[in-house]
Amino acid sequence: MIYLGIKEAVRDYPDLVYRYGFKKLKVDEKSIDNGIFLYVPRNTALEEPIYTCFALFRKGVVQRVYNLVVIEDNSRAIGATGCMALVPEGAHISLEEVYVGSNASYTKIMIHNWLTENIISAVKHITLQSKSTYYDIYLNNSPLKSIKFNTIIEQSEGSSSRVDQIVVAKGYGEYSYDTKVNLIGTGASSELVSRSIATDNSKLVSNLTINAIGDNTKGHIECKGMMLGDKASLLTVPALNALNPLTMLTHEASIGKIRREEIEYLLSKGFTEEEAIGIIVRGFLETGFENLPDKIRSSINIVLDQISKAMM
Amino acid sequence: MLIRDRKAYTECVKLSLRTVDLSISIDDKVIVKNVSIEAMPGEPVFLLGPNGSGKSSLLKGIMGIPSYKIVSGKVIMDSEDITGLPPWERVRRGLWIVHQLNFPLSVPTYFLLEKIAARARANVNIKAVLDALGISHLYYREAFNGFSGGEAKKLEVATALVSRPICIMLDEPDSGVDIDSLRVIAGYINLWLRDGRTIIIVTHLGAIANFIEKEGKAYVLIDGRIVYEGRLHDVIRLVLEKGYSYFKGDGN
Repeated sequence: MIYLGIKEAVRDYPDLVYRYGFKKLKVDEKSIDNGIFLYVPRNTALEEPIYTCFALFRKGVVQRVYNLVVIEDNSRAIGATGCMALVPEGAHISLEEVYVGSNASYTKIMIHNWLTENIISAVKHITLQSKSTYYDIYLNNSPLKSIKFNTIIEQSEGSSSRVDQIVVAKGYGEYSYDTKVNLIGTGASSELVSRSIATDNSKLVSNLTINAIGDNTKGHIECKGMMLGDKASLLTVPALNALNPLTMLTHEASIGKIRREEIEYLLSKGFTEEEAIGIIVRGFLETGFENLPDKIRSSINIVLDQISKAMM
Repeated sequence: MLIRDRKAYTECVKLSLRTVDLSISIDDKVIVKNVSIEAMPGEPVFLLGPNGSGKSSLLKGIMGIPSYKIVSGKVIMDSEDITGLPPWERVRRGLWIVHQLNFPLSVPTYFLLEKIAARARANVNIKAVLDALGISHLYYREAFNGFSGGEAKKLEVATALVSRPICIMLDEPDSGVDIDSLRVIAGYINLWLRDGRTIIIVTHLGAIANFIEKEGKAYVLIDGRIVYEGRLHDVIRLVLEKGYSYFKGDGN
């Protein structure tokens, strides 16, 4: 496998980089500051996750990142990325292209940890070849000024994807997430799961769309929101777009605040009111996280525990 | 008395539960009026009464749920007055309620049970508990969301199983439940009784009583007051023969 900076990858492996990268998104290598190139050749299984971290560490900096991930046929990998800020002012612009070959699998975990004045723009394009699988887990429990995060997944025959998006909007931040899945190939399937919590004065918008194009496709969207701020706003939009009669698309969506009955129920089961709120928030954020390595699962649980404790 | 070691505690401690002239209000309206009942370890106590008679409110008031305010009287566990304690302190002393109706919780079933078990310091295999109750398929599902009546009742029983309480109050465990589920639930009640736990069961018509090994005593609650007390099967016979309207006069 190859794992190195994108600029070095362009220099050392130009054929490989340009065979897979700089195709789906409008970007050229001259306009980027850094990024990573992960290449897993065919018939290779990486058991250990590949960790990457991007940090805004200088006041006023605009960081432009391009990542290229290639998982070739019959291969398997897990990528864990942390994006964070050490200074409140600064912008992070991220572009990412992911290619998952036939019968290959890629699991991507991304944790965002920003500060109040950070501006973030991210676009991610994922191409899934036949019978491949893609699992995306995204967590953001941080204040920021604004974030626009677009994800596009294009799926070939028999491929499957799942996206778990967990966002806690804080302060005066404006959070906008847009995820679109195109089920192009026969038998492609996708499941989009979002858990959104709007606190303080934040604004949170989560658009989730599945376009069913090929025959015998399946898609499910589950978006749930919790309002914990009187001045916050939360908009979740699950969209199912059937362009072929041979599809099965479903969705469920709900937004609410913590109900008094829920708290009283947990009081009667031995918890204090603060603990009850923490349990409800923590339980609300559980989406299952199946088939993850223990290390990754425990890291995610730490973040989720922090979120629920902060709400108590 | 606080439960430091739940396992050791439940194996050796048996506690009675009684109310003394207990009155409970909801939104300033008194629903339960001067109720005195007593339940002893290993002897089931049944509360019968028509809809709206205050049976569920009585249990919730005993449990200390804030919306059910105790306006007068006492709740005594063994010799300790727990009237002023918050619900979690009552749970720490071994009191438990198996609710009748539940609304969907925003938490997965396994997560709810894990938290309850952790609070009780009980090392429990959640999957095995759900399996024994025949509801392991609900493991990842949101608690009570879309559950059938029987599934909801069984999950409530599961909360008691993972918490290992000493005094268990069951609110209509026989309503909205099929016969097989009723047998399963009654089986656990019988186990608890044999174990010397204190059991109070709210029931409309006493269907659950057919499956409980020990007879016990029964109270009839009408309009928030205890109007009759007797051996369970005598009371049920009277209820079935004459209806609750019989008790609205002087049942005695």
